[in-house]
Amino acid sequence: MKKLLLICLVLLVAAPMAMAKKYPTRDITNIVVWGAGGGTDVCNRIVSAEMAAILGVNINVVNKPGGVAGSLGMAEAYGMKHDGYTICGLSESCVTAGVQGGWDKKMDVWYPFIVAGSPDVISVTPDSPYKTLKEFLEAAKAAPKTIKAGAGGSGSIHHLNLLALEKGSGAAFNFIPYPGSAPSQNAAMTGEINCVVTSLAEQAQLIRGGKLRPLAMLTPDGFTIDAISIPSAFADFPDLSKHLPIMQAIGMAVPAGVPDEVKATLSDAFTKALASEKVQQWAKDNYYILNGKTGEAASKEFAQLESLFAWTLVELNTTKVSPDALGIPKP
Amino acid sequence: MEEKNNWLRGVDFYCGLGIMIFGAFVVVEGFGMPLRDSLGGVQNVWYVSPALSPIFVGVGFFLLGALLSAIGLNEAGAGEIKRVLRTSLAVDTLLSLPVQRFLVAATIPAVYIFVLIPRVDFCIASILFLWLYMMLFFLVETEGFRQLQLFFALGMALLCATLVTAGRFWSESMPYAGDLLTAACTAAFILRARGVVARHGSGAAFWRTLAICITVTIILTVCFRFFLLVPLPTEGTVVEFMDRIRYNEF
Amino acid sequence: MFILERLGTFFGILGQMAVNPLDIALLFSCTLLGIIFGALPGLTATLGVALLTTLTYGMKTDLALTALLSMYVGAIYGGSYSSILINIPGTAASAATALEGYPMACRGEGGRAIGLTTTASAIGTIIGMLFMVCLSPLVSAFALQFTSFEFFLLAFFGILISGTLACPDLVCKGWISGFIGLFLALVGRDRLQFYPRFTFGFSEFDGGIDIVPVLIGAFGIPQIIQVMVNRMKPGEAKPLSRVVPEFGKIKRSIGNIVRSSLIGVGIGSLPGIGEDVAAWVSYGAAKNSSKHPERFGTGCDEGVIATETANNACIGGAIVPLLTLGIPGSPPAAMLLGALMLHNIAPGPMLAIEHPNFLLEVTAILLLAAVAMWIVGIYLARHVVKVLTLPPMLFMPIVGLLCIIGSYSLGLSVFNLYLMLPIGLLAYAMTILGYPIAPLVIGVILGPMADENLRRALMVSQGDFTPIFTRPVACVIFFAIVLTFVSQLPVYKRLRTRLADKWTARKTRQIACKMAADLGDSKR
Repeated sequence: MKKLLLICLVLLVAAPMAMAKKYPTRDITNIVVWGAGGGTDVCNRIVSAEMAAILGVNINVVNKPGGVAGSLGMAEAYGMKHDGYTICGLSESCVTAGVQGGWDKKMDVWYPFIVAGSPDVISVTPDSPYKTLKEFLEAAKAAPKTIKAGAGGSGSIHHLNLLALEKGSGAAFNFIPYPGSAPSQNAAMTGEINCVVTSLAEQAQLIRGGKLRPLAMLTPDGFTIDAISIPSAFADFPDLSKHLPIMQAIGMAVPAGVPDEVKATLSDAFTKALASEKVQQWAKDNYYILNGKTGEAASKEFAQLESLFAWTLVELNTTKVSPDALGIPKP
Repeated sequence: MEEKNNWLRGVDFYCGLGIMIFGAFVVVEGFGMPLRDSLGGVQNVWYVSPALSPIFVGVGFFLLGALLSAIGLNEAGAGEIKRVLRTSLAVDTLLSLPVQRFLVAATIPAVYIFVLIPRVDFCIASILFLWLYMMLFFLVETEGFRQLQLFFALGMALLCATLVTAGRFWSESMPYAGDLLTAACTAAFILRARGVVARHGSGAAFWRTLAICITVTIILTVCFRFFLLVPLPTEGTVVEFMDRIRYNEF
Repeated sequence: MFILERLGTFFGILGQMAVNPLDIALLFSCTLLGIIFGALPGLTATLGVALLTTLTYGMKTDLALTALLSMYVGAIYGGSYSSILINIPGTAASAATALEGYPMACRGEGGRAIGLTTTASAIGTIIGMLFMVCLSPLVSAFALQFTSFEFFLLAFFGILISGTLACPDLVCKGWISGFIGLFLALVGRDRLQFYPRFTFGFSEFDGGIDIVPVLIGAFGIPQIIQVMVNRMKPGEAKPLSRVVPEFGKIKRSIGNIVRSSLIGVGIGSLPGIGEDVAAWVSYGAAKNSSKHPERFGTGCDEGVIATETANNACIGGAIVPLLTLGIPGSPPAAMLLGALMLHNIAPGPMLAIEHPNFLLEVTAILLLAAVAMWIVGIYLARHVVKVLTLPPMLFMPIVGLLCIIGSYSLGLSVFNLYLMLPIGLLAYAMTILGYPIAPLVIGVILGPMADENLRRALMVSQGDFTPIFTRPVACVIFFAIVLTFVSQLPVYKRLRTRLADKWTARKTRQIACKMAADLGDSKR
């Protein structure tokens, strides 16, 4: 009788440990905070598909756009159990959710994985008289606030790049806001605005097809697409290196409170996914620069972006909550 | 017909007044929006300001509301208008059958959407919603229906009150308490209704309705959760159970 | 020579697909799936394409493309089922169909209505496809002409059209309904400066009010409550004599069909504006140019043909700028863009050079999808109409549940549900008091476009309105607006009747003279 009881007790204790299978045992849900078909969405779908193959479970990508700077999606992902079965697909633009009143936390509550970013480029309409950045900025300096520039939405990373360009070169543009990068590129093609600043990935097809003429990259290195070589803006205006580059950071994140085992498994799968042939080829074809930072390093990058964005928005007068109230340091 | 038309005009008069007040509110809000300083990197002028459309819409509401009230007053006459106000607020209009039916038809989805969906497992909440909605209109000819209606109303009020107030306290200790409570409530309703229906004799229809409710809900939950991969609003006991079956975690 | 070569390649691709059993199976099953998606209220074409993007990620590109395009075509068509049978639009694109289709179903002509929409949708898809393959440079050039002024004028035109739609009661009630829609469109952060308007501190309102909860709330909830309260049957199903519409009917409506297709393709090619706007504008245009405008709203064939042709022609129109410029012309096309990028095909000006036969492949798939949709639709029509015989007390709660979960699925937002019910109750009150619902929905769809584009246009031109008269497209749309406005004035209507009477009198005299002359001849 006692022996039976002992055996039962041992089984009872051992059973949960034997039942505790390794993470992951179920499908993972990736909630992308931006709309379907956009840069963040496509990046997340490709990397999630590769990670799913490595981890052996499905990763279902769903879109939950809305709120301000993706606050609804982040709140939903953060509100689920912190067991590693809900990932949030986000981008650098989400760092403004706090100061715009959509969210009450800082970005350090996430454990991020940065997939890639695409460098920003400034382009003009094909029939524009300006052939180099120098000419263009001279014209802008000569007639301040008359040259119309588009850069996606107000407060977006492209707008910040435009502002940095203005600060570093002394030119002043007439900023015309659009709801996103694609409409501002359309407006540049139709001639409604004179120049546009968006990422290379978004403009690549239009540049190759001759619908937009690139003037310069807003990063230290130039770039070459097909036969078109785009010089770096830093060559003529070294002052820009004080304010630029501001790189995109598209990726995914899990809440920082998930178990360490989850973090290790996901980081491993993530690194392997980024090194895979498919993702490398996709990044090359679409002009993305793979990043690959995870955890600590990625968090630092996000924190830097958060400071920069938050305090720039204060200057633009669009904040609802002061960055000080959230504890965001100045850049 | 003439009388109905007059009544409509009388109501129009009050609606028009309400719309005018609303329009004024919109215009006031509009003037509170930035009309001059720079915002988001864009210099504000009257045609750029976010206030342009609210002011336009507010003025539009004001004018249209005035027009509506004028037409109402013109066609119905002052006497009719006073009569409309009196009869609308009279007790027997508020308790009449069409108004009752409307309250029932509107309250059940309201309770479902605002109270049940965010707190209770989607499957259980939907079964309760479907069954209650079907039953209350199906059973109208049954005798003893009044007491049944009252029983349902009291039961739902109690359930909602418990879920809303105590929900916060038990979410850590007993994760599925809300589900169990709602399921128990549903079972109580079903048993009570069965008693009434059995006396009336339409037992077969009763069980058929229940079967339809449960089958449809389960099919929809499975389709949306596992085929369309849509995470449901609240995933509690039943969905957890389905998950376990799917992943063979027994 | 070049054209013959292209035609040859096209028929080659078509033939290859038509005999491949996997292709055909995928075509029919995805079209059927698309029709189901479209028919269920709340599930939209965008959601369907998004879902298939995930599911077809591992397939070969051309198979994935077949699946996605058939789903798109099927879903845009499928919305008409629920519009006609239960007066709840299955997708935003078929909201206009409900205005004409539901009265037809109530009269017992539901099956006939579905037959009409099926044929109209198939023809619309094919005409859109023709534009896509023959005139794509023209269509993309057209899309590039649109700047903020043109968008504003188009939105204004659409809103004006809603004012001409049938009103059950006073005309000013229609305008009030439109203004309520415009007000709902204002809620949220404005698109130019992100200043929160009417959000009352709720951050859920920041993104604005989604169209799907408004659509389902405004159309679906009043319908459900009305049926439950009045215990009425949605409509009867007369014994079905003939579902496929007579050829003569199609021949007589050819003007309507061509005009609606042009509107569909044109609006489809404009970025961001999709099938729903195309359907409404086409409906308005059909009503304005019809000989019997008073029949619109009581269930007339012309209206149904106009809306369904336009929203399917829009598919072809939306795909052209997607493939030639990388600019999607409608929300489901935007999802298609993501899907193509996942398969490593970057749509844009380089597509014709890197994948020269891609456009022809897409055309072939659209043609096959249109045919498949027609076959499946005609077959389903007989069976789907039996839905009208289900006891409404059992059927409507299930429809309610579908609406709720459908409208949740799109944005995964419970807040959308919170919005849907109050809007639904408001719409119910409006219906009882004789306000039309259609202008509200049009206001919510077109309001943001009108507001944002007017302000931006004035920002670019520094307060100047003259570009309206100097830019060609803007001038044309402005002229159309003036014409629509004038045609509603009583003066114009009297003039038109007088002229029509004079013309009839003269014709009668001519015929009488001729008859007298003939009689005189025969007597001799």
